[in-house]
Amino acid sequence: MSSLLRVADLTVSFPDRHGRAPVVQGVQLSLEAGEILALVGESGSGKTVTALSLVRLLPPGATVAPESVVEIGGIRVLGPGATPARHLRGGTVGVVFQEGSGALNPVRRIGEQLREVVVRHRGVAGAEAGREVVRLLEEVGLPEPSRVASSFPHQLSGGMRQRVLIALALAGDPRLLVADEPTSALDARVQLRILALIRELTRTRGLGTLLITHDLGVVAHTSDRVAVMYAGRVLEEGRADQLLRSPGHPYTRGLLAALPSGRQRKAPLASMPGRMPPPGLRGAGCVFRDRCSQERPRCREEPDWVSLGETGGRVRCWLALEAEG
Amino acid sequence: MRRYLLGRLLLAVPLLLALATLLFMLVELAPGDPADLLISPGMTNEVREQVRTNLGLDEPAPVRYLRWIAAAATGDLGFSHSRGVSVRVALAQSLPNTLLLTGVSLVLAFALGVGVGIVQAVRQSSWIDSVLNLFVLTFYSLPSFWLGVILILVFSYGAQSVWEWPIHFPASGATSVGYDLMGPGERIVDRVRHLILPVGTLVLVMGAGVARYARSALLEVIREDYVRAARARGLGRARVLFRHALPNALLPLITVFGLYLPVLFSGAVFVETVFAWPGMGRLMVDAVASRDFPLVLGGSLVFAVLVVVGNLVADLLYAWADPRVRYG
Repeated sequence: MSSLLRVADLTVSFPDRHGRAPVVQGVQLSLEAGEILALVGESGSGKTVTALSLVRLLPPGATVAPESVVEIGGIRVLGPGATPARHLRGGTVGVVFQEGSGALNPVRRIGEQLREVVVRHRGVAGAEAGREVVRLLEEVGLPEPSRVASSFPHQLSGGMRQRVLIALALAGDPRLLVADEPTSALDARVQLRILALIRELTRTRGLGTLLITHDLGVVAHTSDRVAVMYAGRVLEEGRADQLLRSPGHPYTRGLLAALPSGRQRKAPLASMPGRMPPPGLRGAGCVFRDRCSQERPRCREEPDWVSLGETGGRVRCWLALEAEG
Repeated sequence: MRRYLLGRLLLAVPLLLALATLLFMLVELAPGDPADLLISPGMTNEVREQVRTNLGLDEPAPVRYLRWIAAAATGDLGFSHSRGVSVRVALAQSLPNTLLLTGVSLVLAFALGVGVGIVQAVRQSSWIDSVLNLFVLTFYSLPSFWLGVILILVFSYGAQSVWEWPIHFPASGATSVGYDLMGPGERIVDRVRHLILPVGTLVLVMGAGVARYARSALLEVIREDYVRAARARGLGRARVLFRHALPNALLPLITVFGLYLPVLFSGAVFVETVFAWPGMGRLMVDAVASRDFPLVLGGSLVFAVLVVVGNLVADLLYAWADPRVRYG
């Protein structure tokens, strides 16, 4: 069975002082319908660039390596032999932007902004498009959808605007949902409701959802699987419960150790020494080795994927190979 | 909104009063006595004093000021001795011509400027952008009276007498000599032909300024997240430009509109003088030259009212374009 989303060998580079530096390198991902995959990483890890390359919305200057492949629903949208997908952006793939980033046009009514996407991708017009707008606003749990449709963005609360942004991503009837930090600007209570909505929509609509976040709490609440990115590479992936309980990569372990825990309130928060190497200064070998407490001579070579047990988890680390024997 | 408008209108009253006072003081400080221009050197001092008394100049300045203000408040702006009619009549003859000239120029300057700005922003850093930038900066830097003279030289004198082009435009006036004898169709053609060079001068100079603002406003807006988000929803380039970017870029341009009104009217003074356009600008220049103080004061007051009203219109436009202003 082919996955809803398949990303293979995705490499994206940006120009820098010395030529071109890869910001995303050899990323592989797969996602099934009805599944939420969390792409976790700190700022600069390449998670947003990975997501933007799915809809070919990379900023000018970015180049995608020729061997990179992206397939959505079995159709190749990026890479050798890719067909230009007419309804890729907003149609096949819906992008949920972050509330507070200004992704809603301040001078146009919510209904107009939704309507133009419905008309563009669904081929409906007139009163039917209007009904569809109201139906979408209902689907994302907004009360009084007609009133919301005739409102301007500044008349809604942050949580309502985030729901509108989700409705906008759904307006083209997508198969894949890419949510870029959808809850980072919201307070904790609203955050949980929005995440529950995304989970519900993924199940009921049979969407594949790629959730980009830096918040492991969000991951635990929402996702089925997790891919951990660091310095442009995926270092570990696996089922969310598995990965959060017994992380396989030293970086993932460090991330989890840095979370504040309810039990030891007074204890200082753990932190990882060092900084993520910037693009262009990520030499050969494991990208994490400068900060790894268990560095081996072998880490100068690029580690390959090592499977962890039966659950489909895998990790890019020589230590895991040692542990296996 | 109605309350806000009413407040703005009430605020305009003390503003205009202060302005009238300032204008009066300015005119009072100006050198030269109107009476000197009305009498010949051989006349006796007695005659001179009689003329001054007739003009009401024998009274002290504060008294004249109060008289003038009180009369102006009732709409009586006094008598223009250089024109031999009341100031109201003189202004009523000139104002329509100026409003025609400036109104047409304003609309065309914004249409041309915004159009050029859009092309430049969409094709940023291309050769089109560079070439347009060269033109924009050239016209932006040219004084309108100089450009007017050059346009007359090329499209009126040169086109008619030197190169004998099939088309040339009149260099002066608002209508031709035989205007009263023309049929309705001919009259319109004659009016338009007279408008082309003065309007062209104002449009080129002002449109260049508008284009600079439009380009930078649009470039700023194009970088906004809602524009990127609109593209991510698969909307076409034209739709993203005209429905998402442009409505937001209009907001700073409305501010420019308000700021440009004084520029427009002062520009019209120069252009009317160059093209002998029978409007407010030329009336004012003549009035100053002949020390016709009531006419200078009345004309300045009309310009002030026009600017105040224009800014009120800009405020209304702002509320129309930005729902955040409308619904607060």
